[in-house]
Amino acid sequence: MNNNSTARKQDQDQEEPLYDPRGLQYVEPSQTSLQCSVCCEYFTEPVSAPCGHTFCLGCITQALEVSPGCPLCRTKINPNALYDVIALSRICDELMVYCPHKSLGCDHVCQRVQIGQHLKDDCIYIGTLCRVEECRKKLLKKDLSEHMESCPYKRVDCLMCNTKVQKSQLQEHHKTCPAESVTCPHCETTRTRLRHMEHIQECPKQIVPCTLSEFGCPWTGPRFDLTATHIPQCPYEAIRGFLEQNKQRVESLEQENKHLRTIFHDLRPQVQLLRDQIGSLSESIQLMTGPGSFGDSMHGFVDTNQYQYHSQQGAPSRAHGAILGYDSNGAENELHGLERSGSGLGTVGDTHELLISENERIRSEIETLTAGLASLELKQNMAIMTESMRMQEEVQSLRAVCHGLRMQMHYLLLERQNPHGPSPPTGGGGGGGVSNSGNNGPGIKTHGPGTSSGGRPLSTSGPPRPRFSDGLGRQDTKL
Amino acid sequence: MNPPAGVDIIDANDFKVWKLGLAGAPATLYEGEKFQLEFNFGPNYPLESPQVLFVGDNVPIHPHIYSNGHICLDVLYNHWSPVQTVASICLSLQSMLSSCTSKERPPDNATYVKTARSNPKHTAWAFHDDTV
Repeated sequence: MNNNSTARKQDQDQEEPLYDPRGLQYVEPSQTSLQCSVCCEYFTEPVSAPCGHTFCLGCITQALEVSPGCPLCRTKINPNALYDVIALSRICDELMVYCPHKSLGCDHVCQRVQIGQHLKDDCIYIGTLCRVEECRKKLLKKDLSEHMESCPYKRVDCLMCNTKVQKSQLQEHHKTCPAESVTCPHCETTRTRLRHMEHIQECPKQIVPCTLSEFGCPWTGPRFDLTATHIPQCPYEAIRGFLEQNKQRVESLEQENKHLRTIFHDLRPQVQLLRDQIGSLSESIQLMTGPGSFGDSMHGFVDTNQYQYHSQQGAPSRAHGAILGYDSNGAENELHGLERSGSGLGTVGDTHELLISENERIRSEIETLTAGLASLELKQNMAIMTESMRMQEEVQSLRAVCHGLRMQMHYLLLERQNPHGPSPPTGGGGGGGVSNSGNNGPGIKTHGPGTSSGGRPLSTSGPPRPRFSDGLGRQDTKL
Repeated sequence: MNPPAGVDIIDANDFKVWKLGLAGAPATLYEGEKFQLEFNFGPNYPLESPQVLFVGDNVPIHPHIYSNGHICLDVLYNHWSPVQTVASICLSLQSMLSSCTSKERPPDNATYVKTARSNPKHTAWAFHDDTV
């Protein structure tokens, strides 16, 4: 009972709204006086505005959001001033409509106000979902009971084990049902499947491989034969201790190999990063110094390093190739392993040796890489130091030059301010020579600092004359 | 839907674009002429106006119709009201054509056609002439 009511609740949650009130089909579709002039349908919740015009509540609300006037007469409407037209609402609710599922076959006709009730309770052409949780198939209400008979997800009882099983999976269930009786394929005795699972572990007639088959023993035979006859004469049993030791050792080596490999992979991007840094550094240094000897040597260093690095990169893949090659064709590879100790031992020994050598190779690679990193760092530091020393010197000399210039400028300014110095004839003559000197004088003065800083290289070599004419030129262009 | 006189439906199969034929009314300057109208309805129709323009080879020569088909008519833009229908727009256009006294393009036709965007609703229209 309780279950049933929750299931129904879920049904209602998942169903779409029962119908679209604006999509209803009316028996008499063309009484235009009862239709909203915005949506051209019969009124739904009709409201009137103070201007006397009537619209659906939804239509006029939306229309007022776009433009505040009445759609028919453009009088301003306050949305709060709309009022319900109850009589009209009732008239429209009493209009006869067809069931929305008319196209599916429902020929029900009723008043508009009752259509919701019809769809909820009576209409058998409404969509619904299969009640079975896993199925949830969409179907019409009228087909539901028929579907429930054949729903593949419907639960049925397994007659053997008394559990509930989906109808569609009953066949499948019989293959795994624990209560089903099964005959052992080896000793032809019969018991339930549950017991059979235990039995098969100890059935004396089951064909089993030798306990040392992982090391290469090819023997297979019934279980009772294994301990009775095979184990005492198995050649692998004799060297069991050695084989197991070897196995452990190979495993630990593999572990170590894996570990080293991850270290190697971690180091690779670091090397790449450093190489890039050095490349960009040497480029910038070259830019600063021009085609100097330092940049070249750095490039040379990076090149050789790159070469070394690539050759190292090749190594692990070669070792890997060897292992693969061995796996596919063990007999061809590493013959001395075979000579030393039978075929099975050779297999173990070879893998072993290969692993060690690969291990060794990776270790040496890492060592070279570390050394390379250290020397790279050292060289980089040296390069930076030399370069910065040079730069410092250059800055020093520039500073000295600046100082000299400042002194010169100072002298020139002094000279100008003092009219009794040796140069005023030149400066005054220049000022007088130009036609509109009244205009030019202040112009030059205001431009003074700008001109002197802009024309500094000139002023070191030439007298104030060229500087003056320079200032004049600026004045002209400005005018 | 029954189209009003002088209007025929060329293509109205979906709710996005309609193409209608408009015939010049008898006893007017456009008598005997055939025009094509294109209506583009946005998702907010009828709350917002459709985009209406003349298309095809024959765009009526009228002081309020530009040669790219754009129509300077207030009810299509800021005087739109949701109670208007395709039929009422066609009627407005027919009356606009019928009351024309001289067949000429708008004075700013050349500049407008060069600068206007394809959707006439993007134009800032100034409605000044109530006589035509």
